[in-house]
Amino acid sequence: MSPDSAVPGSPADVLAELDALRRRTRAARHAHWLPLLLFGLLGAVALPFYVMAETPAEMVAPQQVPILARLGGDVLDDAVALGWYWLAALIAGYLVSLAWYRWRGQQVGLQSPVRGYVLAGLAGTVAALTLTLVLDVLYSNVSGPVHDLAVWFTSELMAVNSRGMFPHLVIGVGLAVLARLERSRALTVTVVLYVAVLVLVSVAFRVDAYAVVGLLGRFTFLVAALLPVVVLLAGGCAAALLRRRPA
Amino acid sequence: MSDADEAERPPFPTNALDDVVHQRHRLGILTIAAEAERVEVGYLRDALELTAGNLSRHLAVLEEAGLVRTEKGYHGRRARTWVAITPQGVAALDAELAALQELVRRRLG
Repeated sequence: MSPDSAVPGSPADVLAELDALRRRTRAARHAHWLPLLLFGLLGAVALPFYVMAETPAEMVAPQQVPILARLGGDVLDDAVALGWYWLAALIAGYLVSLAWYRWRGQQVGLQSPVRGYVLAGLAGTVAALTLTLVLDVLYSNVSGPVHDLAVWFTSELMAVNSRGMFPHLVIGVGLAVLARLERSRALTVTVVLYVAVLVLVSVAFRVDAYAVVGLLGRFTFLVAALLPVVVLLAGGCAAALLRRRPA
Repeated sequence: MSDADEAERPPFPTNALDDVVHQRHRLGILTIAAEAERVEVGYLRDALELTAGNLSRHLAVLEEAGLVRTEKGYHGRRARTWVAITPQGVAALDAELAALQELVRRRLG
């Protein structure tokens, strides 16, 4: 075939060939195993902050927490330290991810469009911090004329935040954007599983200053933070192993 | 067939095939470039099993048509050329794929 000859074969053959090329290219640029492992490890390092000195009382008095440290919630013993940790860890995590994709793009020769993922993660971090403030204002203003659903939604979000779980939501949002950008089914499945576990632990281990549902113990909050971390680490390990498998 | 029938009949899908795009290697270049923010020439050469001269010629055709743009850069001391698909390139690739799918549909239908 001369270089300028038209496409040979039937249209179906051509489409099949292009589809195979597209799948190979996608597989070559998938690199989400590192962000999964990275955020899994960052979550694992945070786990000791979720251990309480003693079994918390059924009604927990919220602490005063600096605005920038509010990602650590307000009922944990180490809420302030956890808040500062997550703020630094999330920013570092997204910047390291960006550096990783840039470096890998140079090595492989395929650069992934991951700016949206990094921006979503950093914007999510700022949004989560802002949301903690908004929720405080909302909760003290929605109980009267506003719909019960708004009260319920606000208090549920506050309960998630009070246990220092907002950073996991930020990670989930970032990974969901990454799954879309990478067009990766495996990462999409991991993100769905991760969010499902987040919802599950939020229901099972719900405790805040206003209501108590579920189990309570020194390690309750640790278990709630551990399960999503396990999903990230397992997803990252699986993705790393699968990428080594010959196509 | 009357003139009115002829006017109402949808154009045959081959009319939508663009000579610039409807070429095996150029379709391959656009398909790969559409999957990434930008792709290095070395990757295209390996993936499409082309010689440097052949690939360069196809890239020149696509660039002249405004379907891709190339950027020169360095990785360490090594000069590298990156290729990125333009919005016109994405539209042309989509149109080509749609025409091919329509041809398949007509053949099966």
